[in-house]
Amino acid sequence: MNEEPTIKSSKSTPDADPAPVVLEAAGVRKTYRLGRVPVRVLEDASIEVRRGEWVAILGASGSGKSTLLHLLGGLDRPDRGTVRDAIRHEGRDVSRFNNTELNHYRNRSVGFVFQFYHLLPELSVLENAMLPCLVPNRWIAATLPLLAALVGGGVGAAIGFFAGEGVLPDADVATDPKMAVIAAVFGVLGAALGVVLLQIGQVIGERIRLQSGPEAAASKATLEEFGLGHRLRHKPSQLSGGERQRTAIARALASEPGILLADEPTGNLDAATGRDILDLLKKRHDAGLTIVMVTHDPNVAHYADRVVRLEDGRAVEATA
Amino acid sequence: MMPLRPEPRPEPPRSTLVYQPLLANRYLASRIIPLIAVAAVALCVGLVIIVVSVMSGFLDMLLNSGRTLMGDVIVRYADPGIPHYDLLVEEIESRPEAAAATPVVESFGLLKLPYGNRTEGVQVWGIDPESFDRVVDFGPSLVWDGIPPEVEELAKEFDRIELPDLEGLPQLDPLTEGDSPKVVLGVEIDSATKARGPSGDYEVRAPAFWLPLRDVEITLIPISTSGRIEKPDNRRFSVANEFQSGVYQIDSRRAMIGIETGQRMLGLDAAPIYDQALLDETGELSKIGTYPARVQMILVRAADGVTPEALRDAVREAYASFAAKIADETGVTIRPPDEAFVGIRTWREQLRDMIGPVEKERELMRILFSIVYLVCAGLVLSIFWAIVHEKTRDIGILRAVGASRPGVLGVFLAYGLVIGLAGAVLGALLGWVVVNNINGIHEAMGEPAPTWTWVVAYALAASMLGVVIQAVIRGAMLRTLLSIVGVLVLGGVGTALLLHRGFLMWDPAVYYFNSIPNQVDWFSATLTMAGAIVFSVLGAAIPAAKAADTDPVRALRYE
Repeated sequence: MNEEPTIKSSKSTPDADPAPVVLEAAGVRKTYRLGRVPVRVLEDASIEVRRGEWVAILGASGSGKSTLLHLLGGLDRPDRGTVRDAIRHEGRDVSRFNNTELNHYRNRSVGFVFQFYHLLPELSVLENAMLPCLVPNRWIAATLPLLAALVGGGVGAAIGFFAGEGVLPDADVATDPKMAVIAAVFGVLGAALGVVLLQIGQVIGERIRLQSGPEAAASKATLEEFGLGHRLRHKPSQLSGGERQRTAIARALASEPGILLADEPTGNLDAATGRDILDLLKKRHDAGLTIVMVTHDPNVAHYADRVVRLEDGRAVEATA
Repeated sequence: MMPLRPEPRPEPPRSTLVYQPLLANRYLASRIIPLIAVAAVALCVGLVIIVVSVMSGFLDMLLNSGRTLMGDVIVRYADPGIPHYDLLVEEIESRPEAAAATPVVESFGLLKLPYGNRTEGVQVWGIDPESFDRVVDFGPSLVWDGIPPEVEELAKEFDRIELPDLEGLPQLDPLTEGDSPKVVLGVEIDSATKARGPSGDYEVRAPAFWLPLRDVEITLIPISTSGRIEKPDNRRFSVANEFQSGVYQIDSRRAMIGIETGQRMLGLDAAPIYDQALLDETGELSKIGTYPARVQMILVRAADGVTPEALRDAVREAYASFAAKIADETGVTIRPPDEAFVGIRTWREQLRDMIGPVEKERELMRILFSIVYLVCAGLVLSIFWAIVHEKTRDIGILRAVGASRPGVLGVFLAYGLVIGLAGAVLGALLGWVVVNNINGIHEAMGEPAPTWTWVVAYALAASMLGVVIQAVIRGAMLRTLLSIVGVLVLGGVGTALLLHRGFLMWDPAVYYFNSIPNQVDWFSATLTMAGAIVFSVLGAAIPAAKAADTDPVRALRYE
């Protein structure tokens, strides 16, 4: 099983140095529990993905192909074996990443496309496509509200303290426990108000940049390339299936990942629309995008440079 | 196996945009559920504020009116009363704990009103208006500070009417012999000639019988020093004013007359003591001394920052030293009663039978309201649980594109915070409006509902019936069901309004107070608001935390 597969790169240089491996899974095992029954989906599966190639993982339903893709994308961790990422993480084992590294990996190293699109229904097409750009700013997302809560809470507690002196005129201000309660209560109210005011400010402040900032410009360009230029402000529910999947692909490409992981990207579309999507992927692939695609359909797998079959939880090289 | 060759790609420039406010804002703006959640939080907050405000206002009013009428500490010794009381007042006022003290005589008597041959049993207090005012704020409790417009109109018609002077404190004892004494009556004693308007002010209904224009008769029964009933004393009093303490039982039962008049009528004034065996030169019984004037009560007000309990102890000391001083003086035959027989109590101890049940009620209310609080918290929690549960897939999507667990939680913290804050503010507003207008609302409930209200309700029910028929014909189940509920509710409301003959929940004859407390208890209100915010945030955060902990693959499968 662990014999080295011969790599046929689509880059038509079979004799030259093969392109470097950017992502590999080695000997992964994954077991799910269905109620009390353990179901082993993957048993010692291995796969290598080289830069610039399009790999199709083909298999019957339930063969574990989606699971393998989830492991490659860091959405799940294997029970055994390693998933190594050379795109950004110098070949380190993704399954041993801590939460922060894993979030970074999902956000920056890979882009995921799902069969059922998985767009956020409340966001517009443009906002959905930009989503990965809005995720990694932990400092702004956490520190600003915390600061606002602290400032608001402090001001509230101070107001509560002075108000308390008015409410409890003959109380010994320094020792009365009621003063502490009043200050704490006003502190909570102040903190809540501070955070809500910050939120309102952020919503207003972001409004313009979500339409015309540099992040928006990049996503807009992608969406226009995908023929969705006139759909930017629409909600996913107003789109056709093909349009939704194109939006999802634009989202997967937003943070310029090294690799696109697609799980049955055409599985929910009619044949013609599915071809459109595959043509679109092909165009990107020709421009250098590395793609790993899961499918049950040999016709779809045909688009790939290389097909890996999953049988009995093991990956088998299919076409040479 | 090929060795992995690291090939780091350039990092794209980092954005300063974040998704949390954007997404929280969209979640809030795009559905009706957040509005329902805000309404639920607001109703819970409003409900708690209204009931806590009214209940604690009730107790505060009771306590305050007790203080207004009784001072902080009461020295009491029933008939024959405390002699040399002016010395006792001096002694008490010399203590730093006491701000002022005033003597009061007290008796039961009969009051004959100027109309309808009405005679009421009343409690008569003989007071010195000036010192009484210093101790119990008598001035502000006087109802009439000017001639009511109805009376002025009457006076224009009949120029024989002499309008009384209502400025300042009334002079109750007659200044000159032959002048008639005056009385200040509790405002609820005469309930026939005036009525309280919706604002709580009194309006004169029968100006000719407006009491400050009239005289009343008071009969008191003196009790001799040996404890026997003597000949009743009956006098005419002109009414100087009326007072309102806010406590119905006092306002409907008490009459204030001058202390000297009271002493004279009750036989508590200074009188010579004769030796029954000795005759003087003229053949009369020989006078061997003077029985000093007496009072049954001395009311004491505490200095600022002194508790009634500390004042009580100071007054006890003052009484002891007063009694010792009198005992040392020679030639005094009548000594004050022993300290052990004199009741020296704080107003709280004095009113224990009135305060006790209310204090118990407050405890009961606290227990009941912690349950209501929990129910409200559970309601808020379950609403948020439903909302956030629906967003599990969204959380999976966010996690799949690299959002951290705390980051995802942030969206729902913001979401719960906005709903909690909006609900708390709206609830406080609702509570404030209702509490402020509670007497008006209560009075409106006391009247039968106006005809148009039930006519409108029935008309709406009838038109809703049309919707039912239409929905049944179309076979739209939800519409049918909702419109049937609408017909039932509107019909029920209409019938309730039609049958509503008006009832007063808060009958002043039954309760201590003649109006419902309408001050918002801001301490409880802010506490409730903060609690609502905390529970909203928790309610949103707990299910969101659960969803964020689920691995993205399982969250994404969630439909």
